[in-house]
Parts: sequence; structure tokens; C-alpha cells
Amino acid sequence: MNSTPHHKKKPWYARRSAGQPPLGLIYLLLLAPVCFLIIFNYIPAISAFYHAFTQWDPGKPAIWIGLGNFLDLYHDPIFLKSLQNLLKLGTFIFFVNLTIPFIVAEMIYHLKSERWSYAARVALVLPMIVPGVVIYMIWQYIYSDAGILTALLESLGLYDWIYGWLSHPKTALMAVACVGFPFAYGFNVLIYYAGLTNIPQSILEAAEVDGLSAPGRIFYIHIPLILSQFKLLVVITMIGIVNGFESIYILTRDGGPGYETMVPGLYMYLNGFVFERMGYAAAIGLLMLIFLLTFTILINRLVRTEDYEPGT
Amino acid sequence: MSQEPENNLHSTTSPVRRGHLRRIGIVGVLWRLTLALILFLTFFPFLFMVSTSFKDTHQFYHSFWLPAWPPAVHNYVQAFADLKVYIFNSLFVTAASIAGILMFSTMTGFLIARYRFPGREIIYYMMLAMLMVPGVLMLIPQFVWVQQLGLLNTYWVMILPYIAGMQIIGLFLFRSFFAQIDQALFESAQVDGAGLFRQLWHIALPLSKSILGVVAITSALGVWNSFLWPLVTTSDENVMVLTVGVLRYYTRTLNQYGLMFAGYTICSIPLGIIFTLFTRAFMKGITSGALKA
Repeated sequence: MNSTPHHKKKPWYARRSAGQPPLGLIYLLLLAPVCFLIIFNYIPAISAFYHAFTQWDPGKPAIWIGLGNFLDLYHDPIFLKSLQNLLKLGTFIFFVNLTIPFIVAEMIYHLKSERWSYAARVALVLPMIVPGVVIYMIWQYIYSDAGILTALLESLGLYDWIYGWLSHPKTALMAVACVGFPFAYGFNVLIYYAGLTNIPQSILEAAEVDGLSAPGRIFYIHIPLILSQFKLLVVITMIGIVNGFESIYILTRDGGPGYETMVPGLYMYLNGFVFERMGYAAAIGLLMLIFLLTFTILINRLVRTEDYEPGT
Repeated sequence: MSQEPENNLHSTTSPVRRGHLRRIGIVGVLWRLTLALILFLTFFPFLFMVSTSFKDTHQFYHSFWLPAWPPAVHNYVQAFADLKVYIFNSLFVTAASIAGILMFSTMTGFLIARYRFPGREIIYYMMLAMLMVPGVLMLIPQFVWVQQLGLLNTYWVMILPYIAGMQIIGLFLFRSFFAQIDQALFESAQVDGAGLFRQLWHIALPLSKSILGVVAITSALGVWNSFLWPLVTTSDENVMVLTVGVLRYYTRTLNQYGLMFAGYTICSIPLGIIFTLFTRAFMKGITSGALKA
């Protein structure tokens, strides 16, 4: 396409436009990354999409059943319960994951000493060295009979408050939701903090001249100007909520007691690997994906920030 | 030079040093205390973990809250003996994945940012499209697929899909960073006879150290922490990674809390070392606004 007439004689792979390596070399270098993408992402994704419409048992060929899985899901009380749990859990997690890190970021931003501010940020990122699985196992311990929470309530004399939090139907979901308390996740705090430090100094000075109070500055200047960070965290948090069932797998293993802590992701996992209904599991996965895509598109429409320009 | 009006009022009436607390004010003291409390609560479980890891069973029951003396170092000896295979496997899988991710994403990012060729946009958007599909949703078909490929219970079953999935965010970051570099740098190198590889190695990569750090560290976190994929694809102890291994370890340490927490602490040491070495790169990378929606 960019070749000049005297290049036309060459085979396509040897053609090059000014200042570029030959086309053949470019494609050769792209071969491995693209093959990896196709083999380990596109093939499973297409397979997931196709098998959502099949009955697919391990070791047997899949049978096309159209919308059968989705109709079954619509009448499946466990799935409906899992959606209900996800709604409760998700609303809570969504709220705390977005607000508390913002409040903490504001606090750190307002620390006058740069050294303290940096120390606070490092301190909040430090827990990221502990693997997520281990964090959940620590929380499992916290809730256990010999755990921190039990010991704390015992020392306060509040014996009535001691439950088997994770095994009691009334408290199980709440216990799962409170994992990670006080929710000041370093990554979220850093993202917000980055947004705050990127606010141009001139705007802040103008606000000061106009006599805007501290809360006014936060609501009228900080929040509108960190919307793009907010949007990023909204999408990441939402993906985490819909996908995240590792914590529940480790804390209650099967969504128990009963189905009190069942969520769609865990139900998908159980259907695929325990109940051996892989088509059904794929259908749950597809529903989750459709939900996430719709949500992401909606957020991008609703919260408008400067658009990313593709290409050069 | 701009001073806050309220600071001026106070500093005229009291010496700067004595006025420090008053300048902060009661509200200032309150939120600083809140911040300290939040930090303390965030850290407490981990402090407890480390403190308990040095206790034997007797010390655990008799000195629950406070550290005990003498430290039960034998917990660590035993925990390490139990976990060392998993640690080695995790280190190997993580290192191999990061190497692959960095190699693929710098190369693809450079080609797409620097050159024009048919299919450039298609490849770029094909990559980005997969960013929208979280891996967990493909868990079952991907499992069946790697089973058919005969990869179960090998290192490859983890390394290859990690590279395939995590090269994408790297590509995204490197492409936009390489496109921002002054293209005249590359052009003058071109005139001097430097080809693609030398331009990438001697110009693009040295300029993108902080992005390299960010991609390496976020990939390391992702690979090191991944749990579900290794859980379903590996059952052989010889290739099992730490996240899955520690779950087995937990069942072996039931009611031996010192031992249990020594194991948990050991799990955190490798990333702790990496974090200590690359703190600035990591913090700077995130706060430079490289990650924005």
C-alpha cells in the first residue's frame, strides 16, 4: 500500500516503505503474540460462546439445545438465589470499594508533609505482597473459634455476639462482605491519589482565591476532575464483583450454609467442575459476560471524560 | 507564592512552632487520627500473622495478643520444608510468564506504535477486545481445551495462557508510551543505520523503564496471586504453585496456628522482596497516570 512503483516487483514480504523493516519481518515478529492470543483466548472464548447453547457433559460430544440452558437458569432457584446474593454483596462492595479509598486518598492528599504522605501510600500498598488466597485464609481464621474476632468479643465480655459467623445463615453473607475491612485498598487509593495530584495547580489556586472551603473544594473541584479515575475503578470493581468468587470458595467452599453465600461465579465453577454440567456453566459465564459488557458500555456513556484516541 | 489565608491569621498571633497543632485544628487532628486508625486496622491482621508465626501452640493460647518470647523459629523451618516445592514452582512460573509478557508486549507495542502495515489496526483491536472478556468466564472451555492439548499438570498450562492474557495490558501501555516518544529520536537512529531491534533495545526500552516496571510488577502480582486456574489445571505436587499448595498446607497444619501463620508469612516474602526493590518504580508508575480509563 505504501510501496513505490519500483518495489512492486518484489514479493509482498520483502516490500518496505521508507524507514520500515520489510513486511515479512513485521508479520514474523507478530506471529507468536497473535497465535498465543488466538489459541489461548479466542478459541476458548468462541468455545464458551458456542457451548452455552449446548448440553455438554465431560467426555461426551456437546448436543445443541438452543436456549435450553438459559430457560433452565431462569427457573433454577439456586441461580436466582445466587443473583440475589450477588446484588446484596455487590452493592456493598461497590460502595465501600469506591468511597473509602477516595476518603483515604483525600486524607493522604491533605497531609502537608510529603514524607508522611509517601509513607502512608507505601503502607497501604504493602499488603499487596500477601497473596489474595492467604488474605482470605487469614480472614477465615479471624472468623474461626480461635480467631481474632472471637477473642476480641470475649475480652469485651460480649459472649452473645459470638457466632460461627461463616456457618450461620444470618451472618454468612455479611461475614463474606466484611472481608478486607477497613477496605482501604492500596491500589484504589493510589489511583485516586494520582488523579488528585494531576489536578492543575492553577485551578486549586483559583478556588482558594474565590474562598472555596475544604468540602467545597472536594465536591466542586476534586470529584469532577477525577472522574476518569473513578470510571476506571468502577469498571475494575464491577469486573471483580461479578468474577470474584475466590474469597467465597476459600471461606465457605460451596456457597453454604445452604446457598446463603452462593454467587453466580461460584455456581458456574461448581456446575463445570463438580456437577459436570459444562454447557450449563458456559451459559452462566455468558450471562455474566453480557452483563459486564452492558455495564461497561453504560458507564462509558454516562460518565463522559476525554476519549482515548486510538492510532497515531 | 500563595499562603492560605487562615495560616496567616494564626501565624501573626503565635510562634510558628507552638501554633502547629492549632493550625491543624480540631478537625485536622480528628481526620489524622482516623487515617492512623484505618492504617492500623489494615495492618493488624498482618501484624498478628507475623507475631503468631513465632509462637508455638502453648504460647499461642497463653499470649494471644502480644508477641511471645522465645520466638518459635522451628515453625519457619518446618513451614519452609513443607512449602519450598510450591515456592520454587511459583517463582519459576512467574519469572517465565513475566519474561514472555514483556517480550511480546514490548515487541508488539513497538511495531504497532512505530510502523504502518496492513492489519495493524485489526491486530491491535483484536488484542484490546480480549481485555473486555475476563478470563474466569472462559474457565471451563479453556480447561477442556488445555486438557485436549495435553497440557494438564505441566508448567506450560499456566505459563502459556498467562502470557497470552497478560500481554494485552502490556501492549496497551507500551504502544501508547512508544507513540509519545519523540519520533525524531528513532528517525535519526534510522539514518545512522540502526534497525528495528537496535531502536527498540537502545532507544525505546531505556526510555520506558517505569512502564517496564509497572507491567512487570502488575503481571507478577497477577501470576503470583492466580488461584483458580492452577487449582483446576494442576493436581500434581511437583508443578503445583504456592496459592494452591498453601491450601493443602492449611489442612496439614490444623490447629497449629504458629505453623500455619509461619507458612502464610513465607508466602508473602517473595513479593515482599520484589516490592522492596521496586517500590518507587511501582508507585511512580501508577501515580504517573499511566493507568486511566
